[in-house]
Amino acid sequence: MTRGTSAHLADGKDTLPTMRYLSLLLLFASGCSSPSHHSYSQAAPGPGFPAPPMTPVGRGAPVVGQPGHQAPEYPRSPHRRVLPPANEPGLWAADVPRAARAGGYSPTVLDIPIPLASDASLEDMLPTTECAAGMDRAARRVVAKDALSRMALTVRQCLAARLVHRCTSSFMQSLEAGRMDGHYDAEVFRRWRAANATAEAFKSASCEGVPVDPALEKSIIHAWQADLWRGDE
Amino acid sequence: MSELVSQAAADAEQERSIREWLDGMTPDQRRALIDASNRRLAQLKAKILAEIHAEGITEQEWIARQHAAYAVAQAGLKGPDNNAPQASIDESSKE
Repeated sequence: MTRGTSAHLADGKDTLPTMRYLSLLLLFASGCSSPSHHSYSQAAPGPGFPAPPMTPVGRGAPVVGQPGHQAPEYPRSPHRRVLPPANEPGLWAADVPRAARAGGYSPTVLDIPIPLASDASLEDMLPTTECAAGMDRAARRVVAKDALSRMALTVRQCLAARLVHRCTSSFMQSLEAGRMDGHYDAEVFRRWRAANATAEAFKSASCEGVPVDPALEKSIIHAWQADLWRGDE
Repeated sequence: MSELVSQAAADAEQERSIREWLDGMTPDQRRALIDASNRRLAQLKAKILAEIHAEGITEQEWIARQHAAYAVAQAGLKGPDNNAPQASIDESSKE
């Protein structure tokens, strides 16, 4: 027994530093896990912790430690960016144009397409179509075919634009004169005014720096005026 | 071609010519001119509506075709660079 006790004491002397190390280790471990020593920058999730919002695909990496939590997106500007039309072929460029496929047509004068007002109704398109048809008939009688083929495209387009504007302008001024005489139809007036504005814009865009042959223009106008009195076709 | 003039000179001449033309008409003649024009527009509208009806499309679709046809025709006249039109129109492209 004595021997055993002394042996135990001897062993105890040896194990004392080990016990101290274990105590310190336990103390350190319990200290680190204590809530009173919390030092995280993020709040600990509570018992009713909501599920993080879904992160849309491609929205970047989530914040470390909290998947799906990201800074709120800046509000988008209400001003939409309007891009200029590109000269690149579109997605359906290889397809047959629908208008051509379906037999659509555009009014032309001497093969130059004449623009219609962009937001026009069917009735609004009629004055331009009528003017283009009348001027095209007159111009084809006056201008020889070989002269037409020799005419530069810029000159031809300017001539077509000037002729259509001449027609719409003539009718506008006729309507204004009729208004002075007591004849006034607001809807007819509005249509011709819209057609005249479109024709004037087309003329301005087509004729900048393009010289005019007044004799040729005058001959076509005379032929057109003669058609006006010739009656309905 | 005869003598060429500037746009401004041609515009001034056009304005004078229209005024002269209108002044040469009596009010009844001007009225008859407008009435004749209105009849032609009514005929044109009836023709277009018949076409719309025959094709089974709406007016809006017909209008959209006009704009598309214009864009196609303009693109046919000009190359990729809209500021550089062709020197002449291919005769074979004419209808």
